[in-house]
Amino acid sequence: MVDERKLRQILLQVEKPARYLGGEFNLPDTDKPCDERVCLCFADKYEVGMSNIGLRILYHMLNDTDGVVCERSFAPSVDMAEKMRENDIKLFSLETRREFTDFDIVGFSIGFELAYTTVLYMMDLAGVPFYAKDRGEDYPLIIAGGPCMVNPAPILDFFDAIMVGEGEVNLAAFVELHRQSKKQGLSKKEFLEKASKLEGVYVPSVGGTVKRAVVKDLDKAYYPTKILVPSCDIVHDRSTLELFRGCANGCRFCQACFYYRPIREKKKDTLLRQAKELIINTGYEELSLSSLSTSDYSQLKELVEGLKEQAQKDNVKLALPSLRLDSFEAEIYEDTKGASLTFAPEAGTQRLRDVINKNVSDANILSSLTAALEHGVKNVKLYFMIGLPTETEEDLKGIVDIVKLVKKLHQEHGRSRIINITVSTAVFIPKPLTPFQWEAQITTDEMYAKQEYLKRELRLKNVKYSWHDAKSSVIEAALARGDRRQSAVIERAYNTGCVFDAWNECFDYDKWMSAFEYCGIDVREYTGAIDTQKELAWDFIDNGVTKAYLLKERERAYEGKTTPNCIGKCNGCGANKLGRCFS
Amino acid sequence: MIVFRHRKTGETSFLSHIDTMRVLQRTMRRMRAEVKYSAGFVPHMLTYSTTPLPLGVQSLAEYFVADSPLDDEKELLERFNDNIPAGLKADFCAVVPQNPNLAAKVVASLYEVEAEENVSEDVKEILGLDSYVMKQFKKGQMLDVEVRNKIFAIETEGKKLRLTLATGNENLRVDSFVESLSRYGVKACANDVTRLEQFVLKDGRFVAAKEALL
Repeated sequence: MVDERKLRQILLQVEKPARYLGGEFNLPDTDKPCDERVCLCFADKYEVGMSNIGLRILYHMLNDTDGVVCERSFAPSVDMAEKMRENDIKLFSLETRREFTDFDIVGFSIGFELAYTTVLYMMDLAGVPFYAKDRGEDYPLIIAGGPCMVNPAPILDFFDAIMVGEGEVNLAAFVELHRQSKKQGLSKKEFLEKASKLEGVYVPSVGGTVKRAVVKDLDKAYYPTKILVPSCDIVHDRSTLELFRGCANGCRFCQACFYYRPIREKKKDTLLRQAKELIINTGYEELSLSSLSTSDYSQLKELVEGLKEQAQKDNVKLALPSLRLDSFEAEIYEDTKGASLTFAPEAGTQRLRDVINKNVSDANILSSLTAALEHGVKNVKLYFMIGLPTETEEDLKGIVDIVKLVKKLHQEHGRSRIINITVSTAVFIPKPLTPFQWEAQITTDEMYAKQEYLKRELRLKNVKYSWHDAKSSVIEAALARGDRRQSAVIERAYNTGCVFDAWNECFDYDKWMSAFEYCGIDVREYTGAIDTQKELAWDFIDNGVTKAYLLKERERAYEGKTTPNCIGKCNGCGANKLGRCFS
Repeated sequence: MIVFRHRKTGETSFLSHIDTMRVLQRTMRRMRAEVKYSAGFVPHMLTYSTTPLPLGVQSLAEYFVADSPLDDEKELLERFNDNIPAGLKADFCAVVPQNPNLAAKVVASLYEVEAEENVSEDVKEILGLDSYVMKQFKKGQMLDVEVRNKIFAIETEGKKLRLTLATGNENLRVDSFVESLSRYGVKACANDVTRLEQFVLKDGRFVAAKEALL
């Protein structure tokens, strides 16, 4: 365990020391008798990790299991890491200040490809070897889970096991199996061989294929309502209600949409009960709803009415995410004093929206914006993507046209005196498990040219334009569709100083490019188009949605044909075989 | 109006003042203290505190006031302690007719420093000096500041050092002062310091804020 006095002395010299101490309200009993100790890690800072709903669920789920204690560890800031190294303090858990080697299992939640070097940074600070093959019986099992496991190929060599799918199923089973194996005195190798047979568990040293694990009945699934309430400010500092998993819309660029299928809802009464418990147990001033497309929740109106009543009674602000506005939702905005509308048309023209299957028509945009402006919305945030397959100059011009339309509609219908329009563009990144997984990403020169065009054309009064960094999008794309050869690149990038790549101020493109070059790998191999006949690095994972369906969707994209939302009628994507949609 | 005297020890001593206030306000919500809100466009909870502690300094005597109509002191204290992180638990609760405005009334604090080694008696000679200048970070720069009139008492006992220093409008930062004592060989950091009590002035004497409320 860490020398507490030494730790407290260094905490006086770093920024935001509260990040490193835990001690939050609703802390589970980590001193209870246990025979299995797990440390859940998040490869980013405390403020980001503590906002993650998945980590929150798994942390409380494991702590609510008899005989299991789960602790947390986050990536310390660079200033803290420096002090830790100076004082010979290894990375520790927040709850009991234990080092990695004091745990049976250390699990990383990885939600973003640019967090890969931060995983190595944490392993380095913990004093454990990066590669699973170099960690003998003295080291804990180091495993990974989270959305990046849709293609874990670039990081497979770093981990003993990969949790593919939902942790409520595979992590719980993995921890339980390890408890039993410990009692039987099994070696790490023997245990991993057994674990490789569990649903949603992939063991790189064993190989084979794996089927994604999903919660069959989300309504009855574990969901904590007595959650940790951080004492310092975090990114999403509020209670969150998870409405459903999966998305019926099928936008062809969106990984989350396909990855989280099958679509499973919670019942309205379950959500109202959970909301009530969350409000009482946390004291949070705000309650937000979480899902990929909240407006598709089948009982949204009844749910929001129930929540509004509860929220008013307890002086809690109800935060609603971006909705597709029709008149009913506009009323909600007015009631909740929502003066801001977030709208994501993603593409500037109807043609391109059809290609990407964003089933929002020009008429929808017009009516939604009119309704919002008539209800007094004064901040409009618009999200678009550039570099989408088949994009032309006309499509970019379409983005500018939509912004001008908002200004015009505000003049004609706006109830507020002023309007602030924020336009953000992200760069299209072809991601695994999407119909666009075979597409090429545009070059950085093209990205810059498109961003320059928009910067020039959107120099309008009350319009603010922001854009996502082009270079980090290239690395993200390369890692997203990466293969096993990339573990050497990630290691090299980390060793040359790359860490916290998701933070713009820390990202260093040149170091990444040098790392690729050093390993003799051409980035364009990963960012260019992929032959649809070629075997993909993530083909060993059965994520439910079939390759045939994705290919069919890709063809429809090129034909400019849309595929309707699957709420009314199943489109046969294949996710149903993992668990029934809308069960 | 309810007043709590709570500690700020262990992990919570590293919480900033703003974070501490947020934790306390959420505690009020969890314990259903029915605290009133301001009537402005963005209503905020009507709560008050005393002079913030420097980061890392611990305390057994922080005061927190909330504008609540509830009046069962024993039950309030119980509910407060059931709903707050361990490091901020309270040992005293009083219901008072109006805001005691402790931030303005507190003039001094008693601190205990647990140094790494025995503290030399020499440190007490400060009380006999006309002037005591120490370095203090003010308005973005390190300045030499005269603080002798803010030092009221110094006692030593083995590794322990007890300091009574000015608090409130004429505040002397205890962490900076303890750091300045290195010239007397005192080895201690901010986290070795604990505030034991805060005082108000009554009939020319220092009286514990808690006593003054009763």
